[in-house]
Amino acid sequence: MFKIKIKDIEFNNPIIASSGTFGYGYEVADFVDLEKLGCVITKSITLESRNGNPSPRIHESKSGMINSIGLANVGVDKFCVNEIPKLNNINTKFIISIAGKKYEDYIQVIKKIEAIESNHVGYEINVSCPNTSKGGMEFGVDADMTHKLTSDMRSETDKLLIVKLSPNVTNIGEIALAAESAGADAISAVNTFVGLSIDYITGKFILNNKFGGVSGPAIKPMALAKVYQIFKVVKIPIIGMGGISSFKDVIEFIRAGATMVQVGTLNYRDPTILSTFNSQFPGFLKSNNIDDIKDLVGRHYEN
Amino acid sequence: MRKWSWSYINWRLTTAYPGGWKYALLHPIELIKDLNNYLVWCQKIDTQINLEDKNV
Repeated sequence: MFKIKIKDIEFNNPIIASSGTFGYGYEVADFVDLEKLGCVITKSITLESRNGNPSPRIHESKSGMINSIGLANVGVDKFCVNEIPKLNNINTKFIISIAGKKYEDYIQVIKKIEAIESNHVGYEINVSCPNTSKGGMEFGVDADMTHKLTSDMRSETDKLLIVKLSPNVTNIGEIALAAESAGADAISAVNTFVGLSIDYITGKFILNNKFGGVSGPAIKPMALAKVYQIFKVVKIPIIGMGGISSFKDVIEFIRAGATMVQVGTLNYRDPTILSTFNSQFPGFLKSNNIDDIKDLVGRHYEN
Repeated sequence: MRKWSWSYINWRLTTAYPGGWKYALLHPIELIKDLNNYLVWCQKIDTQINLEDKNV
């Protein structure tokens, strides 16, 4: 048994395609069996359309990548008209990721989406993207702002509300508690770590935006620590992510306290990897005499 | 990669470049260099994942 329920939504399994790594969700439908995924999270939608940061904005690094894509997306109006009808036909549940340059943007975007017919089961609020000079970071590093934003988003929807946290804070538990007390149904943790890369010959910054978000296997131990720290302080479910590159990593995040997991950077290598992970659940549960994957959530022991 | 649909490739180009496929067409050398970097990265990631699995 590996179905997962968060709030009143039942997901087929705990594997989620992370925002920004799977397109809007329908682009992969021709070659990925979406039915085998727990859920797909769209790339982040902002109030206005965005081309994102100038190139270069992706840099392949050791054991991962650094990106400063800058929330490139079509904007909420085009998203509602052109993308949601396509998403309504995909063969899995989908969650809409929302980001903003300023506080009011988040509220306007969710209001516009709530006003139309859509099959999405919830929202992931991106308060943690380190790529926009004016955006998310201010909300995600401050507990009071996180609380206010989550609370106001909560008042706009009854759907699943997930807050995606930044790891680039001193006390992530404090931010998670703020989101929980404001009405979030779940916490996504964690987004990318701030990183930098310099050409050692020319001395130039590799990314046009200078800084970027580090993701991939390199960040897994740090991401796992953040999930564990959050698990110790909140009661709502955690959706763990950060460098997952194997089924063993999936189980490790679940044992650290994650109810579901997101896979991101590995999708750039192989978008079909998620269904591969999913296919490993039955054998794993059977060989370890586990009836339900939920029994493993937070099951870790002192050494 | 052979199975990738046009809409997926288009999204990947839009993710990599402001202007997406139009930018890629106008900057073919950058595209080739980036594609090469990507393929090398894929090989390294594959090796690393396989090594890690063997070590666990």
